Amino acid sequence: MNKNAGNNRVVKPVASLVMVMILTLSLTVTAFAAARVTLNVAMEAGRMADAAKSVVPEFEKLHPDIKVNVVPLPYTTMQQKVMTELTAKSGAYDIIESHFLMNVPFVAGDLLLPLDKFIKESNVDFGDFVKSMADQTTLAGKASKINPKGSIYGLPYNSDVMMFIYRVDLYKKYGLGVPKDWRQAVNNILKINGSEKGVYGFVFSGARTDNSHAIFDFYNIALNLGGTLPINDEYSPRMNTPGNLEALKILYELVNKYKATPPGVEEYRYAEKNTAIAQGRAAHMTQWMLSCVKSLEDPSESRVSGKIGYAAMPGGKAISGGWTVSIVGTTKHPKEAFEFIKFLTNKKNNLKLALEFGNGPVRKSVILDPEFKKAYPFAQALLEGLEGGVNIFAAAPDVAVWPELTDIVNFALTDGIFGRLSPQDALVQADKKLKDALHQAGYVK
Amino acid sequence: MRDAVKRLSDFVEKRIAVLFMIPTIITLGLVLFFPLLYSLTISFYRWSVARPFLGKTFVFFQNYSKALTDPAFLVAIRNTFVFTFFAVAVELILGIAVALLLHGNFKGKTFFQTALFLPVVTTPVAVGIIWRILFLTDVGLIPYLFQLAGFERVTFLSSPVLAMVAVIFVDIWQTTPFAFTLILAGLSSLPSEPYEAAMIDGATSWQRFFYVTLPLLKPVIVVVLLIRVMDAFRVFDTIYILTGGGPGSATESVSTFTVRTAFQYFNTGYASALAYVVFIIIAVMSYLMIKGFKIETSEL
Repeated sequence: MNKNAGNNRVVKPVASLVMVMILTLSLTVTAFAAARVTLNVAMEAGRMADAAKSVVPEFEKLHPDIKVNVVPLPYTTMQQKVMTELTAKSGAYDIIESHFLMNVPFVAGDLLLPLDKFIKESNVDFGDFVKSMADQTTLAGKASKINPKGSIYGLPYNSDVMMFIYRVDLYKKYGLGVPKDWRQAVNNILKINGSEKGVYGFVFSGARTDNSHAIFDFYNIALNLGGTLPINDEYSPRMNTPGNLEALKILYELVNKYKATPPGVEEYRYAEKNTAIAQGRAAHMTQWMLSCVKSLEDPSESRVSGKIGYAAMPGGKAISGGWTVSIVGTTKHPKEAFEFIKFLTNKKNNLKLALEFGNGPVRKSVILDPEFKKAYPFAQALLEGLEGGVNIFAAAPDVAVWPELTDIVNFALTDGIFGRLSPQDALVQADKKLKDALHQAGYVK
Repeated sequence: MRDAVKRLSDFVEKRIAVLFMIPTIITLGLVLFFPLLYSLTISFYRWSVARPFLGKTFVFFQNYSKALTDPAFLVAIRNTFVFTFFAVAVELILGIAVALLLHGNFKGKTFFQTALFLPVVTTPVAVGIIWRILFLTDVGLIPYLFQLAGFERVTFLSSPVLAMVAVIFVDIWQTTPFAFTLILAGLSSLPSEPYEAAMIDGATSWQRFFYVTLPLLKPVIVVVLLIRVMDAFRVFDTIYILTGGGPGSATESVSTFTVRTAFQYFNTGYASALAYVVFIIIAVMSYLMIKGFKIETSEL
């Protein structure tokens, strides 16, 4: 028997096997090398998701190994959808866009990734973010019960602050000045309501629904009359205070005594206020600035473009808010996710998205940029508003039942404004219900 | 010997049938019974998915006793009964009337049947949004038409009574076609002999309707009634979009309240208990209806 033949019988299959293994391994390695990381980003459908989508091609060009998939979610279902996915640790999203109220349960549930280490190691100029927005990333601007280390849980993406919006043409016509306090503001409202045919003095969100802004419209008045936020740091309800009562009485009288609001204002949510102003049916409102300015100044959508004035809130204090982009705790690609949110919120993109989509600038350098000032002549007032904005939830950010508390307040306020209860009784009722809810949730005994 | 072979083949066939059913049983168990049992379990806990740091405390029937004494939930139950009663009653009467009109052969019958059925296949959310716009006081078509007719601009969505009327109206608009389709199918399958006998006896058309048609249609009507009551009691989309439960809590339904508790307040344990309370109410109502109409379950 040929000895070589025997060797061949062993060597050939082994060699073939080794070749196959090498080939498989090299193919696998190549496949892995070629595989792109996909980041799924949950964002509010509409302007903010569209804005984020617009920077994706450039980001993917800079990072060919990362694919970004922006998933738009309607606002009304966004919170429950994101909460369900994050709690189930489904891995559906790597990055989420969220506001203060959404972030509270996410931080409490340890569902987001602290970004301090990433920020320290990267060249993110965190000090350039406006104060109210930077504060939002820690949920209070400082260490709190919910965030004992004061960790940063996101990068600011879209800012907003409420401003006092009025009809410049009617102010000129009736010789009115921009109000410095709410007494003057009410006088201006009543003057136009009584003098200008077909124009109501004031509009606000009167609906009690989840996405109603009655609470914000109320606090834009109450904060400037010495009013108090719904609860304090010790979880004590404090709706029934003199400042809050005075503010509620103003709204009650504007609706019932002076008929200075349109019929059906009780149906108004966020959008209906804008429509009433845009159609020239109302003269004043307090509104989230950057969310409305684009449509109010667009002649194809507004009959009053060029006739609107944007001023700081009478008294100076206004409700502020905004959206952050955060990294989900369970993501397998934290580095890539941070690269994307850093890119999305850098100065160049923040300015571009503000100018092209009407996103709220989150950086001081952007608001002070000549290009931004040219597009938004009231930029200085905006910066002041954002730097001094009051976040309604900041008093006790560790309370994870804010959605329930704001609903209670909305409910009581609309009862008080529309006369189902007296303003005083509505506030007493609010305190009682807030106390019950905080007790049920285990915050107070 | 042949018997033994047959017995063996029967035995194998039965076992194979069981084997083929196993995937269905497992799937049903996973998607139907597991969530049901799991939500029943958490209804006995004070637990929130949004507040894991507060822990999961076994509270036995506390969530159920809270539900039965919670003024907001009791108002929601009252509203839901009002909504269900008026919506289903009108839907049933209109359903019978339209079915009688469409019964028989005439030109364009198929067109009318199809056109009238369209609301049923329209998404409830879209229906809610469209009707909300139509009802809005300052830009809506309906208040505008009232104004044209010489009335004041009616504030449908901000008046407690009119808001309830509006949500009932929209539900009637959307689900009456479902009722008439089923009743029309029932009418078409009725035997002609009782009618011939009634005519020979000299019965008028009203008498034929009350003493022949209605009794013969009873099983179909009860089916429509059962399905619609169960459905109307769970109404969510239309109210959520149209009024959000307002003004005040005038149109808050058990479903809008439960969804708010579960997905806005994330009060998971309590929301599960609410869902079971609603389930029990619907089950009892259905049982009473079947008993009350003296319908054998085989007739359904």
